[in-house]
Amino acid sequence: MKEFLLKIRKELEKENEKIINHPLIKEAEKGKLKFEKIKNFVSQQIYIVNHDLRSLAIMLSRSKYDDEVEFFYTLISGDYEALKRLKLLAEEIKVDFSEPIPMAIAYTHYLAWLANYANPGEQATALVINLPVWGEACKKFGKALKEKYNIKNIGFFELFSGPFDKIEEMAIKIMERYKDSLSNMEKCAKLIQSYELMFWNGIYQW
Amino acid sequence: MSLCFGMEFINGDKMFTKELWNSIVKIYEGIINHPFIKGLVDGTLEEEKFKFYVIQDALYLKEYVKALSLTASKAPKEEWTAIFNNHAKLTFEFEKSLHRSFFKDWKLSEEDVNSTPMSPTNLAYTTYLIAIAYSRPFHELLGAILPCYWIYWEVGKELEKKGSKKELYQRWINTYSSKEFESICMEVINITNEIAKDLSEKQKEEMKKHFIITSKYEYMFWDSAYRLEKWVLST
Repeated sequence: MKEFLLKIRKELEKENEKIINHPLIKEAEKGKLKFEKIKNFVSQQIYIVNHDLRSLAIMLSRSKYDDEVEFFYTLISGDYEALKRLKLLAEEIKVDFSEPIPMAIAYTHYLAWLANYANPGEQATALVINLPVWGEACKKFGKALKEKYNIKNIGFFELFSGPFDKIEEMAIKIMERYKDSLSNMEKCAKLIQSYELMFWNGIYQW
Repeated sequence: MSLCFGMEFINGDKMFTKELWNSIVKIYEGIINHPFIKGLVDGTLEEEKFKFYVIQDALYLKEYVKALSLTASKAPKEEWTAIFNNHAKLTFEFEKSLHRSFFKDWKLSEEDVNSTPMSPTNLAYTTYLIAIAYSRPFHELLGAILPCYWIYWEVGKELEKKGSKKELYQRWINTYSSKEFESICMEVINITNEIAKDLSEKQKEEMKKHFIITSKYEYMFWDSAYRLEKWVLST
């Protein structure tokens, strides 16, 4: 399964590069990103994290084995911590969730689809393919906000900076159980990365 | 019998949870006077029945975790989602703790427990909960999951007062009469009262209907353990 993940990551290299080096991040690193875009990022994340939490709860409810419950609960716990830190950031930059940006929130709606229709193996694959890329992008974006925009509450971004070895180990055990649906796992992983890119595009283009 | 069901938090007669409790007083009396419960106190309950109960409870809790997670996913408020996600985790951990305590004493492995068939009552109860979780709105689901919290808390308090002559049973009683469990129950009771403020009479009736049904299942659960319930037809 480790090899399977490596293979997917290899195939997604170009897509993932687009996320990690997204113009939204590049402009923030130069201090040229409009503050309004940063506000949009935070506002949409408030919506996304809250909905991700519901989807993860559904995934947990559909778990068949204890390690699946533990895996999803680990992610739920992480998301709660993220939400706490996100609220601090939202308070600092004075933003709340107002209107949804359809392209930006498509990711969380796909997660809801995964929660309802995919099996735990497919869900775990999508989540572990996504996490390190999201984490890397967050790390760079958070650093830029701190250095170029003097934003203090960047804990939300730091939380996702990894490492993800433990969560990947948990995911691999689950994936093994569902290896009959390898092609679906791959589809889910590739799709979620497209939605991830859509999030960054959505914020940037709005 | 004392029915001091948390009067300290029910400040007025109009609290919906008081109405709910009043609707199951007889069921609760049936539970508290059931030979299973009485046997826990005086220590006369056969350990075989208690073992049957704890195994079925572990199987029940696995499904209850799912119902709680679905409750979290349907909660209209962010903080309620957090509460039910946390309760799902605590329930999962509690189920694990049964393995470290009771099952370890009985030399039962996780596989032994998990491969035990659900009793007819347990299956009926849990499938009812999951069906409500998937098909009905949040408030109705709340009505369905509440008795498991509340009745156990009340039974726990009642049993704590009396204690048990048998160490094994006392250990079980201590779990449900803990302060931690009290605050968990309070969270759900408070949510119930809060959500009821915005519900129509018809919606509250639906909620009550599930509350009564799952309270009956609670009674049946104790009773099924006492009878060492079996499936009528074996395959």
